[in-house]
Amino acid sequence: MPALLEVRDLRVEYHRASGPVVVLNGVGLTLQPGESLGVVGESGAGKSVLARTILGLLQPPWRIVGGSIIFQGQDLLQRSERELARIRGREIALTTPEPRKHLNPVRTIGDSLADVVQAHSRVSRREAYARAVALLTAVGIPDPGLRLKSYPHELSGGMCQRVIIAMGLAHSPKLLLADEPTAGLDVTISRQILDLMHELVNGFSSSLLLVSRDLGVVAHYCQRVAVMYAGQIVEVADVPTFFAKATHPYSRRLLRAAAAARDERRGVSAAMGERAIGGDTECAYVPRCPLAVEACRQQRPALEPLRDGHRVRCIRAAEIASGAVEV
Amino acid sequence: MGEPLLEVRHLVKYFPVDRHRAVKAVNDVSFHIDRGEALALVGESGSGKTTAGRCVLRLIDPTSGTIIFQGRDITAMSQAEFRALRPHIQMVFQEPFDSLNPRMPIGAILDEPLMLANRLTPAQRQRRVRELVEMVRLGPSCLRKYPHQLSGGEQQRVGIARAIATQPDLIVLDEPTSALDVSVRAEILDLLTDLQQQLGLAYLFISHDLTAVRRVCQRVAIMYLGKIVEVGRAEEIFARPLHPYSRALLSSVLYPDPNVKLDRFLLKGEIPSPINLPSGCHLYARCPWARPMCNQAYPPLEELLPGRPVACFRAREENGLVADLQLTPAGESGPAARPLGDDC
Repeated sequence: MPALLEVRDLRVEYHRASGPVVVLNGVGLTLQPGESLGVVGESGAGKSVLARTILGLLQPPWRIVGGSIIFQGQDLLQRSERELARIRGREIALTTPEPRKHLNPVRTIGDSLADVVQAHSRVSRREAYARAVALLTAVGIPDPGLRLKSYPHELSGGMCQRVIIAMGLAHSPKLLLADEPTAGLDVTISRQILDLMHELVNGFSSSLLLVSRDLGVVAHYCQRVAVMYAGQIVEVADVPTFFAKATHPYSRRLLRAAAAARDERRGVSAAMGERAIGGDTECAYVPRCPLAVEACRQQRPALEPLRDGHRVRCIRAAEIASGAVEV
Repeated sequence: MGEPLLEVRHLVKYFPVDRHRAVKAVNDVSFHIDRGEALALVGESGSGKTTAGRCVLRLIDPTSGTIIFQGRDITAMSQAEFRALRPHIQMVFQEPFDSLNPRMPIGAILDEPLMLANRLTPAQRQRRVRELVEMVRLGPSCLRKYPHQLSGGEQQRVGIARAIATQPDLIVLDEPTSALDVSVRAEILDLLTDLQQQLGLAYLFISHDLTAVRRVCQRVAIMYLGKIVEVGRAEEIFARPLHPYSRALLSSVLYPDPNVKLDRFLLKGEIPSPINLPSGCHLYARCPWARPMCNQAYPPLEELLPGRPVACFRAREENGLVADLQLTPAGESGPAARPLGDDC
């Protein structure tokens, strides 16, 4: 089956007066139709930028300096803004971590939703509103007819996130990019939102790229995981393999920190250490890596296959996987 | 055990919105804490847990109800009387940096409560300050530093050292680890557990983070929209929550392990506004167990198992409990039991 999305060697810079900062440093990933991929890493790793680049939302001072984003056989980076506008919202949709900020504060929910509906289908305003009611019902908002008349400030954070998801799924997109969909929500509401998204994505057989810092979310709502560090993917694996056999020293540290925070036993802790990024000619993780050897400082390692579907960017991956060295 | 260290009876706190409406932040809440016991008040935003904690500290005055600390009603005291009690009730805040004076070095920050308590000579105070930083596992070099020179975890250690300076009996901790990185959270929780055991402290631990609570507290009270819905020993609540809200709260903890099966016990809809509370059970509109009767009246706290008061009309039946308090084996519909640590 051809991949739905294939990102190859994507390079993105942020230009400041003092010079460019490399934010994505050769990111590559593939996503099959109907698959859900979790992108994890600490803040600043480039996860959200990756999602926004795929949707073609970057504007100066951001600059795409290389690579390709092949979506359904076409390179999105070669498309014109008009062509992208036809894809955005219809084929690829994005949900944001701050839903309230992304809803127009002076328009009602109904108006905003109807706009989204009409953006890609030739329907009357009346039909668009009817569709908006159906969408609000689908995302579990009570009294959808009444809610159409509400403004964003009258809704709770969880409701705003539901509206954003409704907008994202208005045209049954092939790919949903969900950026931290539960950031800032209460825990019982988070579970509801995640389950809702999971159901809808499955219902439309859409693919999901879920950006999250929470390994718990990824463990339960994704099929594959990609770990990002300093603008690169350092490990990719399916979820069961990752949680059992994560190999990159950074992935192992992330897992230990997540487990320690959730562990009820005392004495379990794992410090993440200072954030530091290696130079251009060495492994980016060198400054924090407990296993760094001289060879790690000689060149940037490539993302090499370790076993089927499991790739790791570390020259010592085989030693770590075999248990010859402890992380 | 004798009388409890702290007893809160029928605490109510309304914040008026306008002449006719009020936010019913705490709505008839009662609980007690024994000497040396850690009680958690758990709930989501708007549940009233922080407001209840602030009433205990007398940072705000309750609308009604009594708060009895060491046998005396602190709500009836004058500010001067309460000030004399202050060394016995201390607090640790959520934002460590915001709760430390940015213009004071750590040494002075720790000396301040000792000075106010007025029990020690300057030389004794100096010794005590050094002892305190050691107790929270900071080096003496931090005494000359200012808050901004410390990491978030170190700042919170200072906050804890300041709280224990006057040898209090009770510390109110309001989300002490939520502002911290995941990786330092565990260290702070361990420190709190150790101090509680060493010093025989009682904690009122306010948090939305069930995993934090599980590491530190012996007893848990779960709050929803201004009411306590369930109380019990921590290990019992975590093994088998009886109230539907407790169960939903526990099932929303996503363990970073795909092999831990998720309890698909989900609520519907949104948290209602604390201004317009429903007339019946506050969970009515969201609860999968709801029956028409639940919308008629608010369910009273009823002891379904020994030491397990639960405010739910349906909990006895749904949990398969019969009236003589015997447990029937949990079937398919029973809450998923998770392996428990041995020291909850």
